[in-house]
Amino acid sequence: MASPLDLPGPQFLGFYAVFGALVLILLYIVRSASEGGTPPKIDTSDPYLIAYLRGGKNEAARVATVSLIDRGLLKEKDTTLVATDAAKAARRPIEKAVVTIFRHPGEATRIFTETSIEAACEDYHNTLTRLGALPDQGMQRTRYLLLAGTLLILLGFAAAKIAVALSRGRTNILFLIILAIASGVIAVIMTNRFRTVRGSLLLRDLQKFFSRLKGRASSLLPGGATSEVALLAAVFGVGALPASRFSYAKRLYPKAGASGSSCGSSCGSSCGGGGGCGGCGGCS
Amino acid sequence: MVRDLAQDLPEDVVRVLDEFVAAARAAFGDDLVSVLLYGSAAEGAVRATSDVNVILVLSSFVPAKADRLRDPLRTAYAAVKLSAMFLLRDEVAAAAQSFAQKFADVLRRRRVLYGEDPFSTISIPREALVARLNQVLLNLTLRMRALYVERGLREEQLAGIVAQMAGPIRACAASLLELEGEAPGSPKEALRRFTESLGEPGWGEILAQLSQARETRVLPPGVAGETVLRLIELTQRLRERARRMS
Repeated sequence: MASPLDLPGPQFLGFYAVFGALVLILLYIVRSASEGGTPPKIDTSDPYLIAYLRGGKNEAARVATVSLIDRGLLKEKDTTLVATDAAKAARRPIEKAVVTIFRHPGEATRIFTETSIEAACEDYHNTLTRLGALPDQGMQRTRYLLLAGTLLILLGFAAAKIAVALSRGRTNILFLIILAIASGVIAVIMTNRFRTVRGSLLLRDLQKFFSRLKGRASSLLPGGATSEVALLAAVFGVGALPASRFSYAKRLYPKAGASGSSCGSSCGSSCGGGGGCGGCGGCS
Repeated sequence: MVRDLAQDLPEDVVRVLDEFVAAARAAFGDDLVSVLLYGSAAEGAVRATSDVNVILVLSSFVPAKADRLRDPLRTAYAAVKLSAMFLLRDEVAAAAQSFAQKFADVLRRRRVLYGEDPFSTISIPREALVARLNQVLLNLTLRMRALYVERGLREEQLAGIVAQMAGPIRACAASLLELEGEAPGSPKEALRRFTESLGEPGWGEILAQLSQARETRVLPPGVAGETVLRLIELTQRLRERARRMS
């Protein structure tokens, strides 16, 4: 049987594309098996824990800020915020951290660069990691090993073909290099997710649990009498708030989107502050 | 018991009820006598816009214990618009008499989610129900008039009013039929039978709009205002019949 390395250029590219896809599918299956399982139970009454699951510290801080404005604990003007006299009513650590940041007027995006937010989110990170919704050190190690193995196969195979091609005096290897890099990048993205597979299942489960809330989003009233605004923003993103009643959300955080599945707002929007992207490593 | 609802209610509602009952048991412990589901959810007729109503019957209301239920209640409200009434066991009879119309509906449509059924031995005095029914119908009429004038320029708001009034008007019709010695069936059915008994054309269309508004909170352009006015008329007709029983 002829070696695939002997295939002519175009045929080899086709072979490599299929081979790469199979390797990536295998990577997905192995990762799902090692990180999957029944979604854990979390405290659904804490919107910031859910926001952290969706998009890390930046998302938790964004939801906390919007919730505090809705409750009248922060006052917004253009793109700046300042704490009101009622701000002492903030009770959760992240709310207190946000209120402290805006004790003096400041740009809303300051929440993305302040270290106090990270400290306030530490419990969320630890809780979600303990529950297997975010990768712990063991999972990270497994991910690195999976990535290393995948890259070794994908890039090694491409390198072997390139070596064969060069030894035969052929230099039309650009497409293979591009294909190899692209499949390598996909492998990196697949193994560098913020959440574990279990965490993504949990988020999907929460989005199902609160689907009625999303359905009646347009009728939500400002004022903070209920947890609806905070939970809607936490589960689906600040962008899910109706612009007619919560126009400040879009003005303060223009990059925040509404998330149906999770990717839209958590990653793209976490960087909305022009600084910290610390909390979001991707979307599982 | 909550599990028994799984066949009738959407999965998310069952899950919220399940978690809420567990939270109530954990919060109130032995003070929790029962948890009852009432209203449309007890019939298994939860629409996208429906509220889910529960009564927690307690032996005593201890604030420290109630505090533990604050977060779960807010979450349940956010998820499925679950509202809770906290009633002491020895207040059940008095509440049934004072709010006869509401509790007549509870007696008709309830499911025990946990504990005993404190309403199994409760009966509402006829005169209390007649008086309260009159009061509720008059109140509905006055509220609808005010809302019609206040929000009449916003069609979508009027559709919301129609949706909001559907439940109470239907429940009043059920109480009325009950007072007249008929088995009312579901509140929706009761209102249909009441309008049929009027022997006037056009009510079928109004009831269809009532259902549409309740299910979607939207009515075709130009319809909502007229529907609110016809509902005002309907509550007056219901009240005329209720007054005859006084």
